[in-house]
Amino acid sequence: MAQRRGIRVSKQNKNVLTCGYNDLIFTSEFPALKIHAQGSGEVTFTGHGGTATDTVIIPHNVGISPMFFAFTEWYEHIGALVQEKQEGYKMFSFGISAGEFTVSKYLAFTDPTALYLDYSVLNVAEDPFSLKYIYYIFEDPVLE
Amino acid sequence: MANRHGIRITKENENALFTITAYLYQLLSSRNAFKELSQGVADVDTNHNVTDGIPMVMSFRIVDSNTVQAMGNVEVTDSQILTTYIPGISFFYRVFYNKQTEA
Repeated sequence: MAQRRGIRVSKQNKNVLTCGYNDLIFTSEFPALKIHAQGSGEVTFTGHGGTATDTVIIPHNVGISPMFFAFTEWYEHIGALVQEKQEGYKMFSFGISAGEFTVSKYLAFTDPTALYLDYSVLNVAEDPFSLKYIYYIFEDPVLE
Repeated sequence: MANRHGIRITKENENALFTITAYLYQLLSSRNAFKELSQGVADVDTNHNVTDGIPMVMSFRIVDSNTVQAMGNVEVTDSQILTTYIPGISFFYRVFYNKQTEA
């Protein structure tokens, strides 16, 4: 903690001059993520016949491939040809396995123009069914 | 660059008035901000050099020259970013000083 110039904001009741980095809300010693856009939505699968696929496209026009967080509701494999919707949200990207095989994929990509949430959800009995998603897109490129 | 009020902090040797937003540091906020410690490219288990807990790590796989995929399956211990579930795959990572569980 030798650097004595810049901006620091400490947590309440912590000494901004002497506290460790974990007790700083902000310090100009390290870069911080800058949120470009955030939002949520819901994708509905109708008439899927047990193979539900769709791609949600969220334009961002950041101009570079930006860092992002994205989360979604999902179905877990319970048994043969049975998937059950779970409570809460899971962070993209992930697959759901049944034994040695991946039965569902929840993938998130970005390029310089948009965020893509790519769903391939198999063996869900409900028709139609919906999954909610949440996203944060940052100004910061994936790698500088 | 229409916004001319507030606080802007650039990286070293950048002009705070004219640098594009992506290359500014975070504007001052009353909320806890992510503090980035390091970044890089790896395809094997990699030390993250945080010694007092398990840091937040974001990781992305390169799909093509313009497209990256978020990777939710990178494991992080108190010393390393592990590639147990992504053997041989090259990925970008960014390590934050923020802990996965903060008091």
